[in-house]
Amino acid sequence: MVRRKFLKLSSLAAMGWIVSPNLISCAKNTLFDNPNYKGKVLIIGAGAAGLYAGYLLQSLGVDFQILEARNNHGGRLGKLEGFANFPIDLGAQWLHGNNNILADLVKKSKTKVTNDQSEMSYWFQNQIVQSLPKNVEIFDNEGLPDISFEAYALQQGLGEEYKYIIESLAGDQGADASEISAYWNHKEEENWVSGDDDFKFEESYFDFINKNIAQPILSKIQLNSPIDQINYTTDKIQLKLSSGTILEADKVIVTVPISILKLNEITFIPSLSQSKTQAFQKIGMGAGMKVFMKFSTKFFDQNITGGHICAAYADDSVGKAVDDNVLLAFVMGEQAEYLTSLGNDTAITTALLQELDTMYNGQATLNFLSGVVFDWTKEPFIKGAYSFSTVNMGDARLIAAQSVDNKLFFAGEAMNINGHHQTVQGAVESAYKAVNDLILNLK
Amino acid sequence: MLFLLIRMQTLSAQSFSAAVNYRFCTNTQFDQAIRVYNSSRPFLTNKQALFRNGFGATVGYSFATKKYPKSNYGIELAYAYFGSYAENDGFINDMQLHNLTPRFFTRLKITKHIFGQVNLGLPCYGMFRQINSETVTNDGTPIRAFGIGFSILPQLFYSFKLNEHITLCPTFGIDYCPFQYSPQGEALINQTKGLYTNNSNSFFGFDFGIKVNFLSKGN
Repeated sequence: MVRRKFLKLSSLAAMGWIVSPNLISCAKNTLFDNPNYKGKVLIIGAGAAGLYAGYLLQSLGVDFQILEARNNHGGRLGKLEGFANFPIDLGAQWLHGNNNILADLVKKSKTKVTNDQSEMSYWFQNQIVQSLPKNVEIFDNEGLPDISFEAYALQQGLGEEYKYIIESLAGDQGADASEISAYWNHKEEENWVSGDDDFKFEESYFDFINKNIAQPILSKIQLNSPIDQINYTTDKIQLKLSSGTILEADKVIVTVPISILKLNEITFIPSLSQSKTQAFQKIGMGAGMKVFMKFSTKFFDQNITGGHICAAYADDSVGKAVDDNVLLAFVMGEQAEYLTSLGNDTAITTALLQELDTMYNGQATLNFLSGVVFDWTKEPFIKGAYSFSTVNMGDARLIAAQSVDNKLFFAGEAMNINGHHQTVQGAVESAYKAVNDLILNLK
Repeated sequence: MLFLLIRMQTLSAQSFSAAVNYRFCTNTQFDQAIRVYNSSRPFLTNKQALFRNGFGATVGYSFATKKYPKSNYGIELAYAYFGSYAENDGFINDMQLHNLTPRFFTRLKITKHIFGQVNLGLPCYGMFRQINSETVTNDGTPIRAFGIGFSILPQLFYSFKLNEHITLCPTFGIDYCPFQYSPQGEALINQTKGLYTNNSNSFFGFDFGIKVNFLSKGN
């Protein structure tokens, strides 16, 4: 009898163990409908990740506040009006792919976007050509070694004449060709499922994020509030602002750029683990600058890749409802550092105009009307463009993004672990992951 | 297969069956991905439905050495369809899950009218998605999710004899798949890969329906 009872109970337990994950999943169709959390969450940074974290918390009825060091929200999104007859994207500009949270929001909000199918030209051996003698799409291959783009290109027979073409490919990834890892960059991009089309906003990327995500939570954003210190020793986390003000929170979501964490500009008490700080250091963050030049005529091609001063120029009016003659110089890595070293905007613009004059027989200087330089590296609370994958990076992003003591959560494009780093949608996904971890670990 | 073909030649009482059924199903990976999809997009007020309720059809062939055997065995091919649809201000997200399961079964007569049947299957699925009627693509290639696993489905059915050749059977079964290889499920549903789920799915559900058996010959 005892044996039979034992067998019966064992069978029931086994059946329960087998089916319980499925039955638990019966309950609801969202992960956290109503967390009923009474604690306070402070979000550091009002960039895309910080804004989306706030937007999610607001939808869940959780009390939160966003602390932004700068005097405006948006982070590496920005807009300039009045320079051209369309708004200029000072920061992030392209929505990469059609399959992601923000692409869904674009469709739902009926925001006007255009698939950027502008044509590519190359500055190669002192002339503009439409195609290159050798295939340079070598960084999507299987079995890439963990060496830099530059070293791998040389291995593949792409010599000195391809140096600036390779720089432009690295620049797309926010990096210098000598620093980005062929292996890790490819490995992370294997998870990219967002799609390969690039979309431009008829207004600006900033407008889209501002209208749909920032505006509903605007009252929760406190500007001009840089954080010096986060003390998470006790249950209540204490945040010390540069002004000396102390704020308290139950949970903190850190969304500052990886450059700020690499430079230890925020002190954590107790110190973060060595593995975490090492992970921050392993994630690359290069210099980045955008220069907009307005001309009286459109003498330039839609894209010019391979310049020695700037490896990537692009017609900024592509995808806009109106067509002004604005050329964007998208300068990354060493090239950005060089231009920054010139000291002032006039010197930077002059250097770029000289290069364009070489490409287009002096037409650049002749037709030049005005220019705007936006150096992201000089922005005191940003200090760079976006993250990239370095040689020997390993699982640095995964470690960097892990929460600490169920109190500190990390988000931002650099913390995206599903291949969408470097992008606004990647920042948004990382914000969801941080909020997800926060809410699901409440009990 | 060769064994079955040879065996068929030696059998004297074969029967064919066709069934339609309702299926209720819970999936670990697909449910998780849909829940993540819903909770990560608060701007979608109408939530995406889980793949819960489906309809299916089954055809089968059973082997027996006599017309009303105490036990026999056979093969079946079961199909089921699940849909998930949500519309938000003209943003229409439509997902379809098709399941096709070849099964081997063994059947046991419990009483005069009640039979038990245990099915061992290889559930295969194909999942497709359209946004505003356009197939979701990555680099111009449609994103589709396919997978395969193994399942066990114990069933009970009650047999009504309509005439010498036809029986009608209400059926009830519990379907359990402990493992299904499913590498693209999250990518298709949530547009991320490896972030919230791994490459495997499992499912548990039940079904009930009506089966018609046709006895083709007997001794």
